[in-house]
Amino acid sequence: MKQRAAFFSLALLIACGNANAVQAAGYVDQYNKNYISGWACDRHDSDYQVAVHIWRDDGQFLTGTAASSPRESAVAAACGSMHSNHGFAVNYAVPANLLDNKWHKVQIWIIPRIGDPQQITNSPVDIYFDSGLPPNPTDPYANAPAPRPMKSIYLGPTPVVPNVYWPRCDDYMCY
Amino acid sequence: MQLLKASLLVGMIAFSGSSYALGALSRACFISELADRNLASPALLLFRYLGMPIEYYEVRNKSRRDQEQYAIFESITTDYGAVRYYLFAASRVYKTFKHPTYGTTEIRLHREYKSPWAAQTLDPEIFKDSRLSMFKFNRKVSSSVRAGNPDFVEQVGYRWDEERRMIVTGAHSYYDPATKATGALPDTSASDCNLSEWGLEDR
Repeated sequence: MKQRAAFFSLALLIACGNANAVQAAGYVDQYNKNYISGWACDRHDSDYQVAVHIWRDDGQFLTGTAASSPRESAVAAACGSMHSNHGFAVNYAVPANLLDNKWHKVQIWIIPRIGDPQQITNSPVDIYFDSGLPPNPTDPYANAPAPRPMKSIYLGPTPVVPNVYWPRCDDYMCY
Repeated sequence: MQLLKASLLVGMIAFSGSSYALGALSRACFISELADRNLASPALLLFRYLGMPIEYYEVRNKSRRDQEQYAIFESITTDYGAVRYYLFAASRVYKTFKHPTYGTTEIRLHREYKSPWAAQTLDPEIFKDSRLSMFKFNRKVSSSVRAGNPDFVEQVGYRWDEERRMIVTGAHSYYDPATKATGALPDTSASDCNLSEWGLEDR
């Protein structure tokens, strides 16, 4: 009897574990610094229309949207879903300070109903965040020079380094 | 813009005239603030010449978010014209934080730096580098001393209650070897790169 109870407990645990598993599916079709489109779903929760979050490799959140637009029937088959409404397409504006004339890996995450976010099949993608200005072909500051430290001039004996009496408090906590 | 560029390293470099003058300034300067004004690369180049480790030179290529973690905290005493005095500078760097009960902005000592008595000059070879042309002025600093991190740039971490705002206060003195007299200059204080303030006082 005890063995049977243990067996059912184990089976229940496995079942719960599987219920929380996420199987991200999807593909980014088109992308640039202001637009991204594709489809995404959680094959383990296949009819649910997941949210999609777009992050840059330096930790900057770019945008988010729902993967709920109609797509071709092959998407439904790829998701194992009863419907094919798993597409997304979003225009987004990037703050000027993120336009650094560099290539970045941009990650596309699905946010499942249960479980942890996962990246879709061809995530991350490489996107160039140009500032609109032509990139400088050569960095004039690329070559770092050898140090040339400052030189001390001798004017005679120096006095003792003074004690400084600060007008502000010098405790660690300055209440 | 040119004025901003020109004023960046005042105290370390140049200014004109035949009159003698002593100067003093402090700065709490995040690399991101320099980058916003397209000054990060030339400033780091100069610091590299002065001895900054090579890894900090690459901060110019980091993202703005990363650059917000790197800063220059320093107080500088300068002499113009002929080299007459030994100079001294001391610097205190404070963090600001919100008082948990009263909500007031308070300060917390973060670092303390002190220079020796010295009269130090820049290697003139540095200004043969055309990339530093923006720092050439018409009056030359004869000597200076600096109280700050020997690496020039430092990375700043914050506790949970601390704001991204730092305050640097400086104390400045000079010593005349001829008369053996010591004099003090007014204290300085800054919470930014001090690009708009020349920080000079004629004496």
